[in-house]
Amino acid sequence: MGNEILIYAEFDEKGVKKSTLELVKKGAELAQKLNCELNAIAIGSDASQKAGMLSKYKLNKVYVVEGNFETHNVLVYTDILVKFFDQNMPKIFLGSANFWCKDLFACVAAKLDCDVLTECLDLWLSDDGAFCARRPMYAGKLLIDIKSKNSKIQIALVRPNVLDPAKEEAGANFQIIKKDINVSGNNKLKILEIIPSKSTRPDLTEAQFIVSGGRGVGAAENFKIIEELADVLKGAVGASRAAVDAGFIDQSAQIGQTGKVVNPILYIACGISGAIQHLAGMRTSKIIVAVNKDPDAPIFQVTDYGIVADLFIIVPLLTSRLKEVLK
Amino acid sequence: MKIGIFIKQVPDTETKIKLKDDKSGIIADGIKYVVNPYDEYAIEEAIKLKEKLSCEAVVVSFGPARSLDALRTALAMGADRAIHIKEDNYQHVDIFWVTKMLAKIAQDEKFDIIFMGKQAIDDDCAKTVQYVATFLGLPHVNAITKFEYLDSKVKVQREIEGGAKEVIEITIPCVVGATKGLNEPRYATLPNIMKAKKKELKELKLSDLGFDFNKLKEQGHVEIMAYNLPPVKQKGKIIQGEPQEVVGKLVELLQNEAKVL
Repeated sequence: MGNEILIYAEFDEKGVKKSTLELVKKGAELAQKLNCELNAIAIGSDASQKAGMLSKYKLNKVYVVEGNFETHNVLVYTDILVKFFDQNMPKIFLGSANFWCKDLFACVAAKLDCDVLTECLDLWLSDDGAFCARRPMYAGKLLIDIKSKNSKIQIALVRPNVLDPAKEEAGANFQIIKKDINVSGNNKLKILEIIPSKSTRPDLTEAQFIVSGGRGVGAAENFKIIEELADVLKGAVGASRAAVDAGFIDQSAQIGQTGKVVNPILYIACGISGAIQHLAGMRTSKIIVAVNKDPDAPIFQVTDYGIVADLFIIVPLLTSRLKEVLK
Repeated sequence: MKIGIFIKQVPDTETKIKLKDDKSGIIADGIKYVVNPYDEYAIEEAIKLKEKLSCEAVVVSFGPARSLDALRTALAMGADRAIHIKEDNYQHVDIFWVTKMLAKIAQDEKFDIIFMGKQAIDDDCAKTVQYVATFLGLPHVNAITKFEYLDSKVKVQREIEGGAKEVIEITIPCVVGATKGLNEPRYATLPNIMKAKKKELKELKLSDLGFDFNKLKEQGHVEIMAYNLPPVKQKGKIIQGEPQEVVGKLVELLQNEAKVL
């Protein structure tokens, strides 16, 4: 077993993904306790260049596996990681609990005959050195603390937007190490097409600001006012199951127990009553605001700020006020 | 062609989860159990394919005695026969080991396409599809919203981050994970519920599959140390006043008190 904590690094148009920086901060904490290195791995066609962006943070090494790999092909990336681990098995391997990593890490864990702890809200080491995590159960109605055992490597995925991101603080001996991995041919899985999103809004599961509409929005056309408020905040648009089932908006916007789980710093619920299943998807939002005509709506049990009023009056006013203030 | 459907029985989404006084676990009394909602989409797609190809569809579930209800629902929706891996002390068997058992059954039965829900809504681990597929050396796609059978391949579609969609082709045999949007699960009609009572329902013990309960418990990968209720939110404020006033107050609070703007 190696002597390093390894982070699966991810990047977006702005640079290093915030969720990766959340892993860097937590990884640094664990590395200090274990007195080991905190390293990262970057895989892809411009991995070296991206790896350079990590030099601003307290990492020892970034391993770079550069190549024109078929992006989105989980079998290819699993092969790369497993071969990397054959040469270089870390103590702990961390990733962000996003769609891609949830798929990739589970495949890697199974190939290594190990387990992956998913949707972790926190990670720590117990007094006897065991790797521990807190994760939700029953859609967050319960939080369980678990201890990992019988594992040659600890693999965990952390939910984005829960932990604080690392601040820029360059380490002393940052190194980029290129690794050559011979990827096996694969004819079992082929990505035929990637249909880009029509939306330029942030992804719901990673968005910092979310405005959601419920049954109270009344009609698909009315979602326009929800979207305008979301756009002023540069946020994402969500919905309750009732709004989706009524056909007001596509089901990819559904937030809740059988929809997406979100964790923004600000969640504004408009015309949403607050059914237990909806709360399961957004209750960990840092600040919750609700606008609803019904003073008895259960959503007001979880709001930081509630407005009992007609959303058709309040939401446009809020949009224009925010336009002035956020200029 | 043989189809496998892996399902799980879970507490209904309305369930109010209560902790025992000594916090050693949840109070199971009064919980209504249902087929995992995502598994319903899996059952429906499997049955549609079974009807199209006139082949066999076998439903499998690991769990205590009450899992039979979930299996009967699947039989009533159209599965041909069911396999129940029965273990009353199911909470001591890790998902890792359950997936090993499911993989063994898939191997023995020689399933060509395995359908299951993308995740179970009780633990939201979302790794069963990948574990089963990887243990069997098969390709998989999780969270599919479109499924098309193409003879030796399967073509699926799924939504990824940011609302983009992937169209993926995988070879058969394979594993797919279903999510909402794939189909509209049928209701089990009374005649089909009655027919289901005559369908084969085989009960297996862990030892029948070559697994030793005590060894699995000992070799478990995860131990639950504590159950916690989520933090209770402090009661928030209702902002009073005329619309313009209320909006102004809210923005001010978001800026200066909550500091989120």
